[in-house]
Amino acid sequence: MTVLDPNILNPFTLLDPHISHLISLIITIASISLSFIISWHFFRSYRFSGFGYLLGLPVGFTFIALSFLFEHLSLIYSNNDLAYPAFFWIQLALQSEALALIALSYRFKNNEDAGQYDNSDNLLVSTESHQIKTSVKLRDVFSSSLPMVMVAIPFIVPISELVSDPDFNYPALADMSFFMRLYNMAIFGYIFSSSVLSLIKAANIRLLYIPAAFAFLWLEQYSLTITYFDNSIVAFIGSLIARLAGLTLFVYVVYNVTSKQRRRKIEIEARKKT
Amino acid sequence: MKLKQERRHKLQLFNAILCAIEEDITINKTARPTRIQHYSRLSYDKMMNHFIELEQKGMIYRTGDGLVSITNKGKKFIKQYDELISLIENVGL
Repeated sequence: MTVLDPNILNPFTLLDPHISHLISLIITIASISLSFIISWHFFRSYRFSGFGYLLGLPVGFTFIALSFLFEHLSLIYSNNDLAYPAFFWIQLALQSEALALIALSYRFKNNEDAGQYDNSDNLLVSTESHQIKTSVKLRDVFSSSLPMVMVAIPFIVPISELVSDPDFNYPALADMSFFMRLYNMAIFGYIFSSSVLSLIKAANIRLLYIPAAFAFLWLEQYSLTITYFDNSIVAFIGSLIARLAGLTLFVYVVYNVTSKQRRRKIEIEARKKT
Repeated sequence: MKLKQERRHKLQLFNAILCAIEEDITINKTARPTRIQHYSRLSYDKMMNHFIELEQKGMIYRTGDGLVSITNKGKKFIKQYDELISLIENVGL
């Protein structure tokens, strides 16, 4: 009888060793393909428009695809004492960095929207307006430093872990994965709320597919935290289903965009008839 | 708090002009600058400046009798612009 390691890094090792590699390969290929499809569509949009805030999405989804690749590699080298934790470490860092970059796209878009408002009313000089100005400045400092913090955390936390213990301490790495997943959930929460608010502002409630996709990806992280605590195979399988559902929903929306092209032609034809 | 008068991005302006040309051709078989100006809601001078730029980019061409036509590159631009806007709207950006 084998004793279960309490510090599982790659949850695929929880599955039957005879099928875990095959399942991981299938899930990884599907996840990478879906991520690259999303990334490619956003990259095309960025290349066409040159809108800087769009760049976070293609780079983010490329990083996510790479993180899935490293997850599979860590499983392949699960018997290698160096490669296994190293690939797992890279996967964690890449995934969190990817989410931070996606969140940046929403952050910078929100900044651009806020910049559309004229502050000429602030010219009225009074103590009240001075207090308002101070709070606005503090808010500006906070909002301008937040993106830097978001991007820095996924680098600083794994690197500090590596510096403190270059030989990869398994329990510490497992704990770090837990904290990184909490961070991922917080970032997904931010992305979810930003996208929902934006869609509500645009009175576009029927297009809640993308927030739903982000909710699925949040659920993936949540299921992985449960897996961290009790090594539950059910929670892990749930996380895989949630991941694939989220990415598939994203791809569905991206493909739906191209089918919308026909509408304009129909509109012109209708006008022509009237 | 006042809202600034909405300024259109250059991509938006190009799209408005190209769509106006396409629409005019579909409805009237030809595209005249006055009708394009009406559809795209631009001043005549600005529109003519954009015409020069669009012509240089190979998206439109003008015939000797003042008519304007859209090239395949121009049609591709409209398609890509629609795709961009739909994507941004759908993603909630």
